[in-house]
Amino acid sequence: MINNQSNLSPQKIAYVAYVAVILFFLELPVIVVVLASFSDTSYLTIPPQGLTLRWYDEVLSDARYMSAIYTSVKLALCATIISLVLGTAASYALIRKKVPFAATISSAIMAPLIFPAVVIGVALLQFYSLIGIRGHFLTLVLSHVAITVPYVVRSVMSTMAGTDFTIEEAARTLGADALTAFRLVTLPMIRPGLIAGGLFSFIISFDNVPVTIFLLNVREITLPVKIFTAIEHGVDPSIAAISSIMIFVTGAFLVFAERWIGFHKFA
Amino acid sequence: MPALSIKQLRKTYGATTAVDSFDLDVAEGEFVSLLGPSGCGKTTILRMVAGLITPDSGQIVIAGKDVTHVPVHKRNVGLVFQSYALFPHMTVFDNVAFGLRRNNLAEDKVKERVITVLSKVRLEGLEDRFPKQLSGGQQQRVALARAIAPEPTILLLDEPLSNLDKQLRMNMQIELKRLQRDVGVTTIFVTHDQSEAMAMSDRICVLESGKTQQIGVPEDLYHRPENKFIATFLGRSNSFTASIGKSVSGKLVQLDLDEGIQILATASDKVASSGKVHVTIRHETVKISKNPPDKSKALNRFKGKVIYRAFSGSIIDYVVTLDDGPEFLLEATNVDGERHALPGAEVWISFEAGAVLVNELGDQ
Amino acid sequence: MTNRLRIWLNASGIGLLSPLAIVLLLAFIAPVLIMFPTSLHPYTPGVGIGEGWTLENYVEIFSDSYYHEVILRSLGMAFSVMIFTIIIGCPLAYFLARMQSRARNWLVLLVIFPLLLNLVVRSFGWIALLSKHGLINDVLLSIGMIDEPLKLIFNLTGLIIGMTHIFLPFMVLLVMGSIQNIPVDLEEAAAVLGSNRTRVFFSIILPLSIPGLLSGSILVFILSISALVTPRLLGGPTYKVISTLIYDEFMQLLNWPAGSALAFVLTLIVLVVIWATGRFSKRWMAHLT
Repeated sequence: MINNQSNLSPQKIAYVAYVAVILFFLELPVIVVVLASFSDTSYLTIPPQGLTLRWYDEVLSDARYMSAIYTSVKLALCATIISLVLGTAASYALIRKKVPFAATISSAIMAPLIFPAVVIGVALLQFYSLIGIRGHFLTLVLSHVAITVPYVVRSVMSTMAGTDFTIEEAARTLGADALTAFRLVTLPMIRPGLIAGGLFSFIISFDNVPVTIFLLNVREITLPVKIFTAIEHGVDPSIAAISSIMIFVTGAFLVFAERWIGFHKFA
Repeated sequence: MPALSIKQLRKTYGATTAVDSFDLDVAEGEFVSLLGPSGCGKTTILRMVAGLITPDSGQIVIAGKDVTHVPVHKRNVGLVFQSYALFPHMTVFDNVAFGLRRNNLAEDKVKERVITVLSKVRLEGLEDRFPKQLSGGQQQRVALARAIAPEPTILLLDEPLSNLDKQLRMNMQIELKRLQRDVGVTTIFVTHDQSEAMAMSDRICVLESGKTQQIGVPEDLYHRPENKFIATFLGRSNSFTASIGKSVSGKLVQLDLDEGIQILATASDKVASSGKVHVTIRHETVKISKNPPDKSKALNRFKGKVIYRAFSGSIIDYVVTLDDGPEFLLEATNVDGERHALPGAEVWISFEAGAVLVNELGDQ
Repeated sequence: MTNRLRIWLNASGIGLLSPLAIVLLLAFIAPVLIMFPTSLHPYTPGVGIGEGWTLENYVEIFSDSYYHEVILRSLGMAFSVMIFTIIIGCPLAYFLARMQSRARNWLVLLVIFPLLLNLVVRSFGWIALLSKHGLINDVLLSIGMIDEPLKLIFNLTGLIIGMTHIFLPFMVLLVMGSIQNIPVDLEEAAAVLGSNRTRVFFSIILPLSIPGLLSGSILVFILSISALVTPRLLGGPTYKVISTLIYDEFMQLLNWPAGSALAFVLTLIVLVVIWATGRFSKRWMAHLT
């Protein structure tokens, strides 16, 4: 047991120092990217030479980055909403109903979590090419539902399993039909799971590269894929700037989600 | 027309039969308990009446209307769950108003009704609390208020008192019974606690393995059990197997217990035939005394030795081993507060012929 | 009849499940299955995918030394990443699991933060650190530890460093979860019975945290061997692993049959790892209960 107050032995100090080093290692690339984004040079230098916000200005006034952000947000929102609806319905069925082959079905729903993303990507590329809808926005949304729905199902099922089903039955005996009982009673009770699932879903969809990169058309490109191709063409501080923006947004998002629902419990 | 009429109800889960050929008629305003050990099917019956479970076969008629295939939300039954199942995200007011709002009652009428019902369960002033902020007894009363607010045709209670501590349970028994009489709602009460069932019910239906064992007023069940299960299930008793001996008079018959003593019992059609029977003698019908009791007062009297004595306030429990005979458990009333008949003491025990309950031996 | 169908759809939950099932069928199951016939077609550069059926794509993967090198490299990399995340992650996991201060949740969030941060951004951070004129080489040169820049990127070293960082949070969170499930009483009981700290760790903590350690290890291994973005960015266009090779077959060479065959080989590796560890952990769990 770690007891913070009492007898600081040398071993304990060494242990705490080790933990601090590991935590520093975890945040190191983040720190480096943020530092590099302020450099006044046209090439990447750390520590930054000079101090400027001009890379941020450049990125934020670049129409290609703006349209990539728009595409990413639109895609993540569509995928998250559909995932939440379908995933919640499926979770409800798996927990409350007598589903035949329930174990197999839930494994199939969870499979995209561990299935090689690149394989899903190329399979979808070929499938959508074959039926002639490659590059359509809908194909992206459908694929993102498949890769985000496991997160929704996982969060929703764990919250739902902890709720007393008789509460919904009570609503039914008081005259509420199945849908009303779900809406007025079950839904508010599983709210933390829905929020966590939705947040996860949004992040996973927004961040995805290995599936998305195979399905994009030339006009619509997502932000991570845009940064990915930018890096392949050569690194410069503008990439650090757009990356830093993502770092700030992710950080703010995490703090907000923690305050809202205690996000660490769902990780 | 009965308020509730159940005919030939049956429900199976795979190979196990939860409820089998169950019949019950409940009169308007009556309080009927379904009593039995856990797994006897009592909750399944209650849930079928509520509409939460669909029966395999049979019929449920509420106020003359066949509701067997009517969905739960259209049955107008009130159900109080063992866990109370209060809506955790709603205030007491919104909990109680839930059923009223489903009936599209105007909001001022809802308010009026909620206030009335809350005062009936003595929870005035707690409208804005959330369930988590209430004690167990208060939560239980909210559950009750929520169930009776929409004026259900039938009130169903699923072990509503089992989560309360003993003292509170006694108070709630009285309060619940009063409320039920006051509102006049037909009530089905599911419990495994026999004293609770006997204290509150107009009639009790005892269930075992999905089948009715006996239905009747509590006194009938207790004093005139129809079978061995009822005789041993209700109250605390001594059980024996015996052979029917000679008839002593028109009114009395001699029974030879397997343990080697003879006792006298009141003759009835159950003991008319010869053969093996089951004998039940309740603890409180056995008297204990230092001197041999007058034969005119107790036909059955035996000498024995106290081997165990437990004082628990108003009553004292004894275990007495008869000379050349079985052990008897008995319960005496504490009358004088003295330490009588300590272990090792030589005593007499006695009981009336009418206290001997005789039933068919059954399968084993 | 339709009424009975409706009741059955409702009671069995099939009605609620089918919308998701259809999406999964169209966006996961069918596409993966349809790729299999493709992997059995011949491919001629410049001409395209042929009509006939052949096992050639698979034969080549198992006989060609270039494929061997890439597959072995991928396996070695995934295995190394797994080992490093165990070594680095477990002490942190134990620390966080047994920490009682209120700061704990925020330290856990420090572990979650890189996990949520975009993979491309994290990989980019490692490019800035590891490249020839990156921070690490600059620092080492300036303090005189080295005379010329180390080659830390576009090779195995760079891949392992970057991927260890990227998958470390998974290991920490899973092991932390399983240590939290071990009652502190057990450790105290062992200590009372005279075990020292090391004995307590090896006799109580380690065996009981095996489930978390095992699932963390499988996850890290699988994710490492399937990863595309980080190997692509830190390995560059020439230093290849299976997944980047699949990417090239599809996006640059347009040899879909070979890419499909390679995709199935990767899937097979993942499935075998899951199956094997599943058997192992089943035996382990049987031993525990």
